[in-house]
This record gives sequence, C-alpha cells and structure tokens, in this order.
Amino acid sequence: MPAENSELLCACCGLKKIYLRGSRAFEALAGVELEIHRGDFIQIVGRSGSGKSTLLKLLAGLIEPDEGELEYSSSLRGENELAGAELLGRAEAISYLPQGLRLISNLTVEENVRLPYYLQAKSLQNRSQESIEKRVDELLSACRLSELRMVYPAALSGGEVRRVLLARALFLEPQLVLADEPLSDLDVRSRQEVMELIQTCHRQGSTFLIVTHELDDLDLDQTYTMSEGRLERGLHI
Amino acid sequence: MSDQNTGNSASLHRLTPIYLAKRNLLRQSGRSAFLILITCLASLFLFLSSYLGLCLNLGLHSLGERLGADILLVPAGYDSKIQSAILRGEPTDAYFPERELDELAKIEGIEAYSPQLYVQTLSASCCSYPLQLIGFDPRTDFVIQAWMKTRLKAPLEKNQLVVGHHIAGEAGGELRFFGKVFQVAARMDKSGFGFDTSVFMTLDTARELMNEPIFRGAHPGLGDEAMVSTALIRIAADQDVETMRQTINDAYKGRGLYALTTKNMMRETRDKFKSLSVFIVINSALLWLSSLLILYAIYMSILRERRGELAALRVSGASRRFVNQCLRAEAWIASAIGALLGLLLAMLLALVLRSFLERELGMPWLDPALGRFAVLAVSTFVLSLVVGPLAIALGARRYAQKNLNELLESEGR
Repeated sequence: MPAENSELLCACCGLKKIYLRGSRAFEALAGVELEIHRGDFIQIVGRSGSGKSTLLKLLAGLIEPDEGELEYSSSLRGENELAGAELLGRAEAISYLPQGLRLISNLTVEENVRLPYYLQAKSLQNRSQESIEKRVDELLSACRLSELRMVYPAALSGGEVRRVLLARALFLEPQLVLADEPLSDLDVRSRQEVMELIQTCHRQGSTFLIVTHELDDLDLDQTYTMSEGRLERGLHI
Repeated sequence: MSDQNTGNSASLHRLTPIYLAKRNLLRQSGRSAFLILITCLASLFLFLSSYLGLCLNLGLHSLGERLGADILLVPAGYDSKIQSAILRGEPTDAYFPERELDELAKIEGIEAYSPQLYVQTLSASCCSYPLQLIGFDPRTDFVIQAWMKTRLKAPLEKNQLVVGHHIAGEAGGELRFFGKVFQVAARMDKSGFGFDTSVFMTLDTARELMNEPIFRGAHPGLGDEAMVSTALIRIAADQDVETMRQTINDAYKGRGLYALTTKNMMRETRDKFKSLSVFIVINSALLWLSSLLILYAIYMSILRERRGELAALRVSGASRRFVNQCLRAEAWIASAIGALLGLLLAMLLALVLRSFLERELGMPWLDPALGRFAVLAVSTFVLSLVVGPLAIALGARRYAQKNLNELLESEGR
C-alpha cells in the first residue's frame, strides 16, 4: 500500500521533456504528475520508448525538464540545498541504477560495493570505520556475496553482477533508489533473487522507484503505466 | 592466495586516482607492458640519437678550439694527408725545409706562426700500429702547449714526450721509438680528434729521431737540412682569412707549398656533421611523434572501453576532476616506467657502443662531461615522460567533461 501519510520525498508537477529527432520535436514526457513518499515501492511499466527512462533521468537530476516542476524534500537536499545531479554525489540522498551500469572491472566485489564510500569519504567523517565495515558485511551477506568479496567482476555471472550493483547502490543507505530495468537480461532464478533482495531492502526502509518490464508480482496500487509520455496510475497494457 | 580473478584483502579507506591507475596497470599487464614499451623505445632512441649528436658536436667544437690556427702551410698535394693527420691522427710523412718559413715573417697581417714536424713510427712499445709523433717548437707554439697546460706542469725536456688520450702510457712511464727510450711526462685529456692517437715532443727531439738509421732507411730522399711538415699560422684580428690565404699562396707560388684555411679543412667534417645532425633531429622528432600517435590510438581505445566504468564512478559520486585524474594517472605511471627503463637501457648501450661509433663514423668525438650528460639524461626522461599524458590529454578531457547523461548514453550505443 502506498505510504501517503509519510514524508513526501519528491514531487513532479506537469513535467515535460522534448527531444529533437532531426527537424521534428518529440515529446518524451508530456506532463507527468507523480509524488514519491518515504517507504513507497513504485513500479513503472510501459512499452519501449514510452518515456520511462527519461522520467528516471529527470528524477536523478541527469537532465532538466523543459516544462513543469520537480521538487525534492529538505531531507534529500540536505544543508547545502543541493539539486539535480548533485544529489547523486551526496551520500544518503539518491541512488541511481541506470540500465547497463557496470562494475569497475579492476576492483573486487567488496571494493565495488564500497565505491560510494571511497568517493564520498569526506562527507562521511561522522561515520566510524567500524560502522562502515559492519555495513559492508551486512550488505554482502544480504546480497549473498560474502564468498565472492575478493572476486573480480569478470568472474561473476549476470545475476551476481546485478546483486553487486544493488549492494553498491544501497551502501550509503540512500533515501530514494531509482532503478531502471534492474531485472533485464537475467534468467528466471536470478530475477527472483534480485527482486527478493529489492523487496527485502524496501521492507528495511528504502524507498524504491523501479522501471520494469516484469508484470508478475506487481503491487497494482503502486504501479504506474507510462504511455506516450503520460503517466497513469494502475496497469494499462 | 590471489589469481587473475581474486584480489588481496582491501583495507582501503580512500580510493585515489593513483591507486586505481596502479590496479588497472597491474591487472591488464599485457596492455600495460605495451604502453611501457612504446615509451621505453621513444626514450631509448631519443637518448641515443641526442647522445650521438652531442658527442659529435663536442668533438667538432673541441677541434675548432684546439686547432688554434687560422691557416696551415703544407707541401702541395699533401693537404688531405695533413688533414687526416690532424683530424684522425693518421701518420703522414709530408716534409719541406724549415727555411721556407722565413717568407712568412715578411707577410703583413700574420700575428704568429709555428712549425710542426710529423714523424711516422714503424712500431712502438705502446702500440701494435704505426703512430704519429708530432714535434712542436716550444718557443713559438700557440696550439699544443695551451692544450697541455692542464696536465703538463713544466716545459717538456729532451727525451720527454706527452701522449694522447688513447695511447697506452701514464706519466712517469717509458716508451720506445726507433730503439730510443723516452719518458712519458703526461697523458692528455681527450680532445675528440687526431691528438688522441698522437705523441707530442719538442721539435729538436723529433729531429733527432729523424736522424736515426731506421728512419733514414725508410726515407732515403731526405737530406740533412732541418725539415718541418707544416706551419700553423695565426692572423691578426683585423685580417680576413681568405684574403690572407691568397696572399700567402701568392708569396709561395711555384715553391711547392700551399696555404689552406682550417675553416675549409673542417668544412667537410662540418658538412658531414650537419647532414648527420639533420638526420638525427628529424628521426628523433618523427619517432617522438609516432610514439605520441600510437599512444593516442591506444588510450582512445582504452577510454572507449572504460566509458561504462567512468559512468559507474560518476553515478557513485565521483567528480569530473576525479575522473580526469584517474584517466591521466595511468598514463603518467606507464610513461614514467617506460621513460626510465628506456633511459637506463640507452645509457648502457651508449657505454657499449661508443667506441664502435667513434671508430666507424670517423669524425671528431668527445664524450660529454658529467653535468652535460646528466642534463641530457634528464631532458630525455622529461620528453619521454610527457608522451603518454599528452596522448591521453585530449581524450581524458573530453570524457571527463561529459555530463553523466552523455556518458550513459554513449555507453548504451
């Protein structure tokens, strides 16, 4: 069930995004309205090219909308009132898992999971080393990666890579996780494993917005369908 | 235990560009070795060619300085032999009567002149080949004694001699020529040309040697008159060398003697050096540019391959600056290793090949002093070091400047 009475993390109002294809303008988003509350588990489905990934990029701050408003809560923006892609650089704010994201090939699984910590260590000085180590162990265990911690990505299966990416995305306990097709190209078993992991993390308190093609196990109250740049609540395929 | 697919324990607390660069280089050892090899070869050839050019330049400069004279008076037809004697220390037997030099005293514009006598040995205790003995007049000489000043503390006496740098013999030792024993007064520093394989003595001592039966037997045409092989002439500062040469030739017309300028004598050597220099410079430049282009191609390929990883770094919170530093660090490290390896190899090769090159080129050759050698080594290192970072600079900047969306979209293609 959507947690509507909980804190509003992000609100989209009349979002439009237009791309030029040759000399023709193409409306990727045609006035999207969306509210994300803390604790939500939102799934967005739709055909390819319907604007799902564009919406996620807007929410992650990678691109700017051409029209409309996008607002974040003060807990996401932090003291420095960050905005846009700067939020990705802020620990504990937003974590973005785009399609096709890679691991760093010459870092081990453990080092890849720790990557956000390595890169943002300056802003994490209030965290003790012990708490960081504990977090690593917890995540590796939750993602069933403990035995693979010293392995390099080249030796991992597709499902294992996806679990490491997820663990990395969750390492600094972001308030909002945006995941674009986290289950694509996985076999049935790996899809189940990754989905279970996502749902476990959600139950532990993370807010998720997932773009997916998977129509199984959808919570229809929190499912949206994107079609020709418009977002509608419910499944309309 | 670690293999290609597992790592050692990482108790790392911060990921630095250098750490990531080192890890990338170690894990992709084949490609890293190739990157290092390119820079190594660039460094090696750059040093060797610069070293060659420097030694030849120093040799030529030394020749110009040591020669001292503006004009040489030689027997007609012997100019090339006298040149060989001076430039390469090749023994010669050119002679003319010393009285002929009286004419020089009458020519206005000549500041000083001094005779030299060349005596070719048939054998000597020091060496397995004929040597050039050079007799000079200590009263009038302005070339040889200036050069000897650093080693010879007192004037040369009868039956004393000074040996060139390549002659086996140390101060206090003895050498035997034509059955006579001589004391070695000094051994000279390297000159870079014919002086190094010559032996120096006073004119009187050289003349005594010429009177030895062995020498007389080999030169039956020589009379009892005092002979010289050449006269070194210094002209006044306000005189033109070519004009003076013509004046001297006019004065000696029909007398079997010929004046040549030392500038002309060195011209052939200078021209040879110039051609070689141009060849060396062009080759070095081409080599350096080729290395740059090859490395550029390799690094661009690496950058394209690593697009996804750059995106992963940015998504995880890395700044553009950090990404830029990561990309450049690898190039700096690989270049530093290659440049150093190449330099060390080149210095070793220079040590091994220098005698061979000196001999085969047949040009004045002088090894640089330690200071100059160090400057050469450092400049080679720096020029080779920057090849890699320059090669990656354009690409690194382009990828680092891309915003995250551009990186992700280019990865998706």
